Amino acid sequence: MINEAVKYYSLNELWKNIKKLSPKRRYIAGGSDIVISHHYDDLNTDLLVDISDIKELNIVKETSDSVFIGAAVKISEFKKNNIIKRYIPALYECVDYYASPSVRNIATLGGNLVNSSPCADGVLALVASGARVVRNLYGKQKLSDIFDVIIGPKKTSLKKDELIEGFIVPKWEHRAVFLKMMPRKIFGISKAGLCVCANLKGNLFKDIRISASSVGPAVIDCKKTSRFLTDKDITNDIINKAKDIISCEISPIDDHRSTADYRREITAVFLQRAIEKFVV
Amino acid sequence: MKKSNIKHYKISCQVNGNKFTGYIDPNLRLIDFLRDVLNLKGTKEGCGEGECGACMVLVNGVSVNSCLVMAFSVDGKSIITIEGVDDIKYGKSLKEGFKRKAAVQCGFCTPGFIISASELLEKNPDATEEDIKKALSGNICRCTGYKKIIEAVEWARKNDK
Amino acid sequence: MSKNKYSFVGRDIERVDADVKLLGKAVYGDDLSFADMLYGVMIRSPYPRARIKSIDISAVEDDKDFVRVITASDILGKNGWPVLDDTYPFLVSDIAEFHSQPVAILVAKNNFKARELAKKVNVVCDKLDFNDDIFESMKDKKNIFSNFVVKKGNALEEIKKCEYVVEKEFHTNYQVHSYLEPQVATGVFSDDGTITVYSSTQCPFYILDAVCAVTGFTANKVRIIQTVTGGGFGGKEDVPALVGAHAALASYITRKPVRICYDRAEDFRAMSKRHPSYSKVVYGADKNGRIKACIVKYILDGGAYSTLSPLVLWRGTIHAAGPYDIDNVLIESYAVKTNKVPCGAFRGFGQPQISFSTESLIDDLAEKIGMDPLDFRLKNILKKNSLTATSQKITESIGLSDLIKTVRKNSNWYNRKNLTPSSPNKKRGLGCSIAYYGVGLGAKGKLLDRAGAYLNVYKDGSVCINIGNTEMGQGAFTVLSQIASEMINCPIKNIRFAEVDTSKVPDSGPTVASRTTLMSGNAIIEAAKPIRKNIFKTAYDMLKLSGGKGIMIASDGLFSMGDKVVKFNDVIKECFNKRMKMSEQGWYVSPDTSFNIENGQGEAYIVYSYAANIADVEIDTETGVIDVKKIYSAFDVGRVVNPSLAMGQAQGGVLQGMSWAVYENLVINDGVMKNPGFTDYIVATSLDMPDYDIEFVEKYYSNGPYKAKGLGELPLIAVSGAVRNAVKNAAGIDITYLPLLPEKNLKLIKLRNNNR
Repeated sequence: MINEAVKYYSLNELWKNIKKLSPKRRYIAGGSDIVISHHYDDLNTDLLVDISDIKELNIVKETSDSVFIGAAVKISEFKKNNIIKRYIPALYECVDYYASPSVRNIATLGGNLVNSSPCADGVLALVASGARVVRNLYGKQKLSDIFDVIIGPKKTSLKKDELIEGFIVPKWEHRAVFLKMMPRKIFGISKAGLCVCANLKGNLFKDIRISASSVGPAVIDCKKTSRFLTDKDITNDIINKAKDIISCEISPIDDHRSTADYRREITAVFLQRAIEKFVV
Repeated sequence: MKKSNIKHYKISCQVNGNKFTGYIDPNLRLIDFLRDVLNLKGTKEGCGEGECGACMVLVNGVSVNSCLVMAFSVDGKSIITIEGVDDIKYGKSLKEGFKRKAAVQCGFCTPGFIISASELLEKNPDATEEDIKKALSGNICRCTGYKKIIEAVEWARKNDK
Repeated sequence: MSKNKYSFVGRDIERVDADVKLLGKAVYGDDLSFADMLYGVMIRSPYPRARIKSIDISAVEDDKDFVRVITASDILGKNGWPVLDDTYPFLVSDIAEFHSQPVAILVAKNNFKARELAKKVNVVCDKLDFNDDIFESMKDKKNIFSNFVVKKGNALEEIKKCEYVVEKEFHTNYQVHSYLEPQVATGVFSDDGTITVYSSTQCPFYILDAVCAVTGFTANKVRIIQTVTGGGFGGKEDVPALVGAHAALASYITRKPVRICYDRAEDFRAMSKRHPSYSKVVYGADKNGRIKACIVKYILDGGAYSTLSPLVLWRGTIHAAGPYDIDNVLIESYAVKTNKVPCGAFRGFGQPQISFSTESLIDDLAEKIGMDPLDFRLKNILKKNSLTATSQKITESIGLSDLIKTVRKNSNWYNRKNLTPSSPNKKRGLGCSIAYYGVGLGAKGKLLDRAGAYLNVYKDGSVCINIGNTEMGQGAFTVLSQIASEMINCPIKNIRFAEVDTSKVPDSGPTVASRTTLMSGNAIIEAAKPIRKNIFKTAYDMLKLSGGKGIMIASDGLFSMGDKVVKFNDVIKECFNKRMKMSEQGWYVSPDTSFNIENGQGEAYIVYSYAANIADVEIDTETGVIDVKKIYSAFDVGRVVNPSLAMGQAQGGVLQGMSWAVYENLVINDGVMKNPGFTDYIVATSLDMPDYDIEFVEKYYSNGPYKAKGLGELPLIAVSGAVRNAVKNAAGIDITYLPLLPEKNLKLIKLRNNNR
């Protein structure tokens, strides 16, 4: 049961008031996860702090070397935003596979991270894009790695009242391939997902970042595979070796959505397909 | 008896063009507010987890699952439900299309489909069959097999006045 | 096809309920309001099997919105739901036999609070050992709910003489109805000592029986009114009686209206499902490709209580040899208890599971013989004067061979080897399947196979019809309006179907078994006959009197003679002036059949509908993912009363069959459902929809209303077999399970690659 809800429109207003609120307070942004828990389970909170319309959390802006995306920007906005299309192609690509059209109008990237699910499509794209997280606690910003925030399935390192203000994604020359194995053609939680952001020069991968979802306790930054592929001439042999490496880098499990074997298999197939998309 | 210490939340919003200002229970989801407070029963709850689309409404012109949104969060916003669809672009022609193309069967999913389709056509008046399929992919219909719904949306696209 | 001589029947009449549904004004179960209404939420067993000791309400009893908890000891009538047997208690008094079985009803003053409070009620119980495996269960005879035999000729001997023999085991999983409107009922006790239950249901009369049982009321004090129903597919056949009985009981005890509306998760956990199945099938053919023998063992996982399992099993058993002319058939079937959610009716009613097995194996047999699978079927199918597996002679209305030829032509079957996949890692193929479906309840359910109708013409020319079968989305009210209009030459818009009310119409059995057009249609015709006579006679007299010459023509709501015309409404006015009887009861009883339950021989059903399907499927050989691109179907359902509505129902049925075949995978581990909702129980969406190429071939049935048979279930039944055969033809893998999940498909593909 919730006894009260409050809504703020700026960070200033939030930080000014938050400490006065019930100690069991909790943030709500889009709500696409929280409202389900509220209905079916128990949120274990008595006060919801609506941060969905806080202006600082709703902007996308660029500097000379990076892009800032507010944590409360709706997923569907990414498809309409030229900065994102140009500089964060992974995020742009992921939109079509992210939940359903209407959920994309509700859900936010900040929520996707805070929920810290292993199948988070937005996080998958962010990791491969090289994004960092802007945290904010009582007006004090802190930049940290995504994996400093996610510390396990459904677990984050966020302190009480600390929120995700947004993400800073470096501008770097790359293309992106986003692949998601869904339980039907589109719409559904992934059985396995793979995102590759890379810069191919000739037949050589210069910068490459690979992330994988639904194949471990959280989204995985496949550093070994990425490192292996860097500066390599792409041959069948190299692709096969990379597939072996990524198969070891992930740690999928059996559950009601799929099997560990299948997830491992698909991740490798996806890696091959992603590389081929770059090379063609 | 335990006393309730719920503090009601003041919202002002437009629903189908009518202004609502009042205090609501903060526990209400948007769907509860529409159905139980405003008595707009055309919006249906099919799953309560944003998967079926029966509860779809437009908030500031974009479709949302009203089971995934808290009612207090629509403060200051404009909402359209199936009951107000006649007043938005493509609303009437969608209804006519659904009737002509036999796209209504049990009818429980129908309001949600019309909301999703109206958002699509408003944004993309040249929507192809593939666009329509994509736009409706968050709405489950267990009766029709979707074909007639897609035909109905195509009819509305071509015949809207 | 000859030109349609009818004004209404056989025409694309728009749905009579489209407008109200499009306005958002149709009143479904949870849209009704009553003053002072309370809300009930079920308290359920937390374990697959448990001895219930008490219900601890200490955490909620002081809440201002809490009203009370109702347990088994509060039941005034009998604590046994009458559904074939009465072993399933309305509320558990001792041992809960499945996870989420109803134990108590919590009643509170508002909906949200009722749910919140229910989360805090503690069911005090001891966890007991449970059994979730049919084979384990079958070791103890008392766990067998029912078993049937069909024995024709001597299959065990004849199979030995066959040149070609194929034998395989098959498994199919649950299917969840996924009607969009969850279960809902409202009980309204009135101070005059009556109870009315408003329910989303296919079968108001089942609820009547249940409410009488749980309250001890006599039937004349109970009324069941059907609310607009958001889909059924069998899921609103039996189980709404449980929901309705709980609401009625709670209302009677609290003396206030009580609404019980399920959320999707509890609807998944506690409501009926399509039975999971195991089957072992053997077919044998002679050297000429004639099927000589068929042996089937068929087991359904019934769940914790018998409910409708015997009837579901019986229908499956009767059809288990497939729509083939086979001299020697031996079918043995069992419905078995396990500590899981009780299974029941679902579109196809025990046929889709065994159809998957037999249509798969028939294809394998054709391959073994080296025959084209369509030619092989054409050679062996039921034709006019053939005997079915129960030795029933098919005397009329059989379109099976035309159907096969239709899909063969439409799919360009002989060109199938030239179909190209959309990318090099994919393989593409066509596969076929056929089915037959006994319309109505059959010999086993014949006591219920009757229907009533009340047709009342008002003096303004408007017409109200009461029937005992229900509209649940399938279009019954529209199709039956057409039949009524045709009978009395009345404009469609004059007709209204009243909501189904058990106090207004005799027990008409359930709205199942694709029987509504046939049964209620015939009942309406019976009711309309005398009225038609009055109307036509009056019109004739009016036209003669005004100087009309020649014969009278009645069409489109007008009566004409030469250049003279009278309108329906004016004729009715004149009928009332003549004090004619303008309201009638109709009653239709399905023709008698003779059937011997001991050997499963005799007339099982009054008539059969038929289907043929061809699926065009692509499989990704690196991921195992199946893409059903197109489904060609042809159906013989007798006269098609409304082509547009029939097409919609057929497309929906085909997609439901496809969705079951490739996506729908309910997971129950250790007796607990792991994916009770649409997040992880996957049903097809618009993007998964295949192209449909569907055609109706009308083979008239002499006893049908305007020669119609039944359609509802048929389109779903054999789709899975066509998909499986297409995948086999594409990728060469031998699938014996449903759903065709990519995880499993990929294993088979690898196995095949390794064996090469």
